[in-house]
Amino acid sequence: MANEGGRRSIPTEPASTEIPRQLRARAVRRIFVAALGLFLALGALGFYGVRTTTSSATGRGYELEVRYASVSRPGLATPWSFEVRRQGGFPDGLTVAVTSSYFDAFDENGLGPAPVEETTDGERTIWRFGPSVGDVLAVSFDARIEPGVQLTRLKGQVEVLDGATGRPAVTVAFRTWVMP
Amino acid sequence: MEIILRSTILYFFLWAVARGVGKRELSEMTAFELILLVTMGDLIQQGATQEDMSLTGAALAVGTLAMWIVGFAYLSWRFRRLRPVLEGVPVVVIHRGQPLDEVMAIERLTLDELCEEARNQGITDLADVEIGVVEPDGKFSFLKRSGDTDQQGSKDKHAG
Repeated sequence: MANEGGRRSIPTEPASTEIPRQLRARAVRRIFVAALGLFLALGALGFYGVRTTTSSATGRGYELEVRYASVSRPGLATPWSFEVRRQGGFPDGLTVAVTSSYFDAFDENGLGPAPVEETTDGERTIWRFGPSVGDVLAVSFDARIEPGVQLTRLKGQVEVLDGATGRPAVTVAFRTWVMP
Repeated sequence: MEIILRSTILYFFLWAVARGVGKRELSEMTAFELILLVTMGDLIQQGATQEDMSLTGAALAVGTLAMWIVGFAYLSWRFRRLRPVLEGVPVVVIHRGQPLDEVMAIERLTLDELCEEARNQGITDLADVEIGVVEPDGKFSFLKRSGDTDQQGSKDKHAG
């Protein structure tokens, strides 16, 4: 800055353009855009949820298949349902126990068909369904993950309880990763 | 605390997007446009993310818009014929000192507004202007007639 007639000169001319610096900045921008593109592509492919998975197990004449979200996000409708198959059907109804804490993370709209009885032993919620027609009982849970639940791995399991002993005849465990 | 954390994460994500998109695109945004953008963003949020309340959903929505901005900027740079569609064309509203009434009517530009823009750039008489142009970004450029001091300027005001 030079003094001209007592006034201080303040040049407004910007610093000279450095091509290497510009090239580096462009490279950084390109890397960013590529990363953003990858992020969006993964989102388009459902990588961040809702991703649905099915797990199944058999035991003591029962075949249990649970459909659940392996990845979901807060506020989104998140599938959860199970089917129990048994030769001869369920003339005496069916009792199923599920992990209570898993469902605490949901804003539920309902369970269909509704159980005739619902109890809890503290850790598990026990649903008793009435006799049904056919060899398959399909139950679905209509719910959304609560907005405040995020960055959490929800764990749970479904147990089909033996009608005579009340002990688990077949169990399927599942996990849902809730994205931020 | 949760809101602070979420806001902080979103701020840094938006900052990264702004830096990554490049300053040329952002330089065309006035304060009013920024406010309008934020307000519109709030209004269309339901439509864009629906009931998704996650940070991931917000980042996907913002990232998608950013990619469109980058994509349009690239197409405009790469394909000259697309520029008029993507960015618009400059419109001459003064020619040899005469305001072009028909063009101004199409641009919904009044003579008062034109005079105001000229005043803002130190022009005392439109007759001194060789060419007055509304640029694609809505800014005004005035080229003074030969014999006068050449002057070219712009102001962040959009015609119409």
